[in-house]
Amino acid sequence: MDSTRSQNNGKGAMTRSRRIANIALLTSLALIFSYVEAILPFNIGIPGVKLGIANIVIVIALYRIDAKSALSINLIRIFISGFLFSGVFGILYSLAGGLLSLGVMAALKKTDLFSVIGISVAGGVMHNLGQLLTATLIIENLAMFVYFPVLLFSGIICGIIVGIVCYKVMQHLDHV
Amino acid sequence: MFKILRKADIILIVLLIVCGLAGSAFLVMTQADMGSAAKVTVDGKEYGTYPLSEDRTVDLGTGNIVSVKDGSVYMESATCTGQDCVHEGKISKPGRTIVCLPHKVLIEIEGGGDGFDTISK
Repeated sequence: MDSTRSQNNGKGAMTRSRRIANIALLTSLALIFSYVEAILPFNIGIPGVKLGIANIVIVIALYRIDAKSALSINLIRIFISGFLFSGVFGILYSLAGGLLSLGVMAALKKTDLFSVIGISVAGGVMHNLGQLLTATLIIENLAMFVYFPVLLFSGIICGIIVGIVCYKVMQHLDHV
Repeated sequence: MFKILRKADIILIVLLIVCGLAGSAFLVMTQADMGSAAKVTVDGKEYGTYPLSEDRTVDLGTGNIVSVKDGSVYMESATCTGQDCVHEGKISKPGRTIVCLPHKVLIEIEGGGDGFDTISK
């Protein structure tokens, strides 16, 4: 049902300029979310645990446009927010997490078995897993994996929250 | 409108939770043997550090005999009246101690989870 909708979204094929405008708009939205998250005092003392509200935009782009656009948005967001807030290593971590998470989300969406909550839970967990793998590679110490259960559970919980938000947002996007 | 939660979602989430629980259980179990060595202190001075991986028996010369066996350490015998240290039994987890007050002997398990504690404030 939702796939037919997104095809009809631009009254037939989405024009190139409309696509670019949409990606630009969503990228800036994702950037704002990254910024809000960077200044949000949501920090429970474990590095890597965060809400991932920028993922809302990515998931919606994945549903409403396509995987390619979601990838563009994610890459641009990661580089710009990396240069603005976190530095080169931050980009490296985000890149690993973002690419793995988007890859899995796109693959799971293709199966057409999952709702947006399942997709975003998988995305959240994979994002954390990607970052953990990068950290393990950089530090060259498997002991990093003691964080794994913590990051897994935080990924599940944040993924559910993000999924519910996406669901609600897309419900209203339907009326636009 | 598509459904908010489907069967596959629940399976996925349950699967991930099981993964997380298994991971935590694995960590808790490995952390139990994470103690790497027993540090023996006599009268405030370090007497010696013995890796838990090697079985051995050490006579401290104070009347206390310390044994390391199968990854844990225990006070085999003591000449004091209380015998509290002997009754303490085997210890293997980091931070655990056996104390023999009359002879001022302290056995501490070292190493392991330092700095990698999963519990956070």
